[in-house]
Amino acid sequence: MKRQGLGHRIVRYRHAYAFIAPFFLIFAVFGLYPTAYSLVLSFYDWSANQPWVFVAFQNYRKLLDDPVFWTSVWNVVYIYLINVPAMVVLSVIIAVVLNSPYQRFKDFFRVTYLVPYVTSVLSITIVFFVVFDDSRGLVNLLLSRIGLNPVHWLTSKKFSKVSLDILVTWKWVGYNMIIALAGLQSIDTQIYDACRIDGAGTLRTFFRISLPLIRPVVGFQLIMATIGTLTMFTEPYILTDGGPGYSSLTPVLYLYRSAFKFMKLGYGAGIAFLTFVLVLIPSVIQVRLYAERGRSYTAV
Amino acid sequence: MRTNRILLLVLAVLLLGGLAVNAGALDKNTKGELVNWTWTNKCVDEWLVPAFNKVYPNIKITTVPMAFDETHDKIFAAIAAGSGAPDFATIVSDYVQKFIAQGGLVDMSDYISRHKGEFPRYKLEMDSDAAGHVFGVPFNSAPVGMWYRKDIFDKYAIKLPETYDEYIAAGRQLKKYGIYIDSISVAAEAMDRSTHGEVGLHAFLTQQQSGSYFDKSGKPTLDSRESKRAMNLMYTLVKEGLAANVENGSPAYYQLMDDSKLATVMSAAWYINVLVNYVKPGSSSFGNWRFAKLPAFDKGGSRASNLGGAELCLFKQTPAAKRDLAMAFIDFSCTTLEGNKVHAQYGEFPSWIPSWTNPDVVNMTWPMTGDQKLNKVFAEIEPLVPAWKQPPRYTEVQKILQASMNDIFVGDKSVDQGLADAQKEATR
Repeated sequence: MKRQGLGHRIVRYRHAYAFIAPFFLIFAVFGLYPTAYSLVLSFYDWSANQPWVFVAFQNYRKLLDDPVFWTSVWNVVYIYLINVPAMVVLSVIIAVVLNSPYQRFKDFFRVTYLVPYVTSVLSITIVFFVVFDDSRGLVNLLLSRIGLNPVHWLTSKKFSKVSLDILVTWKWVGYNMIIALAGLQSIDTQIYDACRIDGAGTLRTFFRISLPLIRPVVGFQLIMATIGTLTMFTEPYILTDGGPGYSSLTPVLYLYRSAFKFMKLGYGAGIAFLTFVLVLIPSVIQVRLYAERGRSYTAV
Repeated sequence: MRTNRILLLVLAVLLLGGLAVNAGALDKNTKGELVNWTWTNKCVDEWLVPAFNKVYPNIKITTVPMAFDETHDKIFAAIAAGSGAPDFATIVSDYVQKFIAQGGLVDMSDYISRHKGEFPRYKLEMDSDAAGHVFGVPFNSAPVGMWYRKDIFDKYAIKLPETYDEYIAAGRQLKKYGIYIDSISVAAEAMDRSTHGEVGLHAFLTQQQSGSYFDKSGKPTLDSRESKRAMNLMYTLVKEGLAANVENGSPAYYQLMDDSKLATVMSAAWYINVLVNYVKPGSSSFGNWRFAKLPAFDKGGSRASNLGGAELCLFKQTPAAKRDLAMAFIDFSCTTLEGNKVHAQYGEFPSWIPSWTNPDVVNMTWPMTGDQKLNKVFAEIEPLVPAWKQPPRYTEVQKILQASMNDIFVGDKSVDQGLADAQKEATR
């Protein structure tokens, strides 16, 4: 049988292509084009009204030697190492509790945990700004009531990243809980019945059955958390402005400053692509670790 | 032939004249719509625009309110993109050079030359390029001084300090009673995140000494003598606990004010807006704030500086048809007595020198500052403000300096080391 060409296939399935075309057109205009433009810009020096000056890899060479950039990378790694495990563990535990047949008012709790996720990150950050205030904030007030010294949550290098961790964990645990819950609910209940018959207890069932079966879901959580944490912008911009010093500066915040405040648009584009590479590496590793042949991720 | 040449010459002059920024010749019934970006939206939208519309009732001005930093970031992006700029905007004096370098502003030299001698020299310098072309019309000025609580000073018999040594001595005296002489956050906030930020404080203290963050060749000078003196003063206030470790404009800051634990605030003329918005009748500080000149670093030395102030600027992207309309507003706001009285009353001290001697402006008072004629004091300071024209890299070196400040304030680095490190980073 003669193989049909691409043109013939497009004509034959033209209605399908017509339906999926809008997304790709919008993506091409608002996603692909700016990305390509930015990549090209990263090889130029463009500041103020000066014409673009081709500098090849100079922006990237400067970045590799830029201590401020690498401080920002270390900052997001630090935030990631604290925030992500805490968030994933908490979300799975809460999902397991909410998945329990004995848990009452499940809908209420699900909605409550999801509220931080649907609330604007700007609103949350502004509230946390007040909550973490050194002298009048709620957190220090509670600490003083239990006899502890107040903590300089936003005004000390030691705790600025911890404040971001707390905020981000609080905001995203509900979203991750819903994903974990969906994963748990996709497990065939007959497996649990079989476990009960075999005499397995709750903890053993969780660690030997539930956790391995929701591994792809946890993998998805980790990948999304990796991308989200390493590209964090709004929270440090509002809460700490990257300070004190550079203690809570993130690469995307540094990109924003370099491009729009320091007028180094080419350098900012370089930061964008180097950050992209730094985010891509762990994401690809995680995809390979958690993707299982023949099993797709739970639809979320 | 000769007649043709003369006619061509006349035609050219007329054409060039038409292209130049024109103002004051607009018919009062002209119709049009303008878009303005500003962070001082209340002053512009609620005070100036209604006053302007009494003169030009058919020119509709849409004011887009933005945060201080957002205004400037968006202007930068619009100029870089080549589209999206408003018809005119308010730009802070410190950042005008950035947009001049971008080439996005309209040359206002012709207009300014018609108002020769009517604006402070340092303001026009800040608005000029290297060739002396002026790209903004000074709108309001921000002479700096010491806002102080007269009731606290009277209660503890504190004499108004004339030098910073006397200021520190006053701080030590007040500390015995649990009162702070000022507030300095050790986290070191930027100018755009609080009422003035520690970065702004350091900047005007440096300017007060006729210092600068750059030398004439444009090389950063963050470790200059003036910068060190300014930082040493701030560090002394922090180290001795004389300044409260709170962010300006934070809830804790206002609580200190309410509790009468904050004796002075080093800030600019526009700080009256903070007092107007925050200090209400019944508050402990209502009627008790006063304004005095800055203490000097040395006896008899400069007591004048500046922190902020704004210009009204036109953009090259502004359609030609709208430039005359925008200039009518700029002219009204910046060089008519009526316009200047409006924003003076709002609390934005006008840059227009002729307004400084007008009795209505001079005699203005605000209830939270008793019967003090603030504009009179501002007008005494303004002509003495040292130059402070900073190149486009100003924003960047401010951030570098800000990063070092925290290290200095918490004692991780000495003042000299911190400034040396900032200087090294700025010249990297």
